[in-house]
Amino acid sequence: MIFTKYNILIIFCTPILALFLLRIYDNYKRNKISKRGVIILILFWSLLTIGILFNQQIFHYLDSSNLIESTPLSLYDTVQITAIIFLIYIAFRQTFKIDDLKNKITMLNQEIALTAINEKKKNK
Amino acid sequence: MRQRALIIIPAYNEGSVIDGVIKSVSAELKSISGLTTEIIVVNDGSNDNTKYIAEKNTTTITHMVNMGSGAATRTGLVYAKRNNFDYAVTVDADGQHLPKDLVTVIRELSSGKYDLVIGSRLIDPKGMPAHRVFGNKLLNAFTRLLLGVRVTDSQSGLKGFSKEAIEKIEIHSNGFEFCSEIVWRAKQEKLSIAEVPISAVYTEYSKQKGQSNVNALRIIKSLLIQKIKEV
Repeated sequence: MIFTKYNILIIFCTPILALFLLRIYDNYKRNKISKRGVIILILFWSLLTIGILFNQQIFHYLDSSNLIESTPLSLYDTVQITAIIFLIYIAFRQTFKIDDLKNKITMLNQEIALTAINEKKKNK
Repeated sequence: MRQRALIIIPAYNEGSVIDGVIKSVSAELKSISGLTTEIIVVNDGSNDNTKYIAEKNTTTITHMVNMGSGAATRTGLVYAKRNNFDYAVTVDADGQHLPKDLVTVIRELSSGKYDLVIGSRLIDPKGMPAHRVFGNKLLNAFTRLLLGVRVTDSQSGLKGFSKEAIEKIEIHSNGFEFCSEIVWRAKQEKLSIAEVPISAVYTEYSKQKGQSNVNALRIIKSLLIQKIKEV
């Protein structure tokens, strides 16, 4: 059967993860992140993608090894996992944006202060 | 042509002591011959009278909002770079450093052997509270472990920069973690680093104003983030 809960999870998450990977590549092309940064981010999201693609096998392996004592994946779980992945992405994005904004404010603050002192010196 | 040195005093809400610090530093600088010196206070968005007192005594650069001691030090260093100073020395505004130690740092710098001279309180930590010694040693160990730089006092506010160091060292941190970042950047730029022993004056005021051990954890966290960003 195609529409198992495991497959639904793949259908939900794979396009989102593919989109994230494309965005990372796009940001790299636009020089927004360094080469090292892009490698780390792609590695992180690729690992998550692999985890999602093989979620059924991973679940069975963990279950058979007695590493988890969980009930099989429910439909609600698939929605929850998709939401968690999306939230991780949002958290990453916000952290970088806030950091970038903080740097811009600092630079602005510095430039205003230095321009003011230069003006003051000129007027003396 | 006489060489020029800039003394940078980053200050945040130091209205009660800044006057004394500027005057004592200024008096001590007179003992140095063959060098033109200028003192600037970088008022980091203080909400007390720091700005007015500093402006009466010396050149004062004012940040509109408080950004942290790292940001204030960076502004001072950018000022030194744009105004073509040969040396820059940072001094704490809380009166923790003895002006004579500032002269020692300048003399070491002007020998031309070193690019970054750190005034180390921990070579002879006499008079330093035990918990401060512990906190600073913890941060030294962390600086060594994470950033690969071995110095005896990574958190010292008394640091001297040669012209090359002024041009090459770019601080990215806004907070107190900038102290470790400076030695890290110096190592990255392959600059020569020296340490000279200094005394630290711990008054009730400077104890309140200085870094606490809780702050050490914040510094470690910020340095970790900085390091991860550069991986």
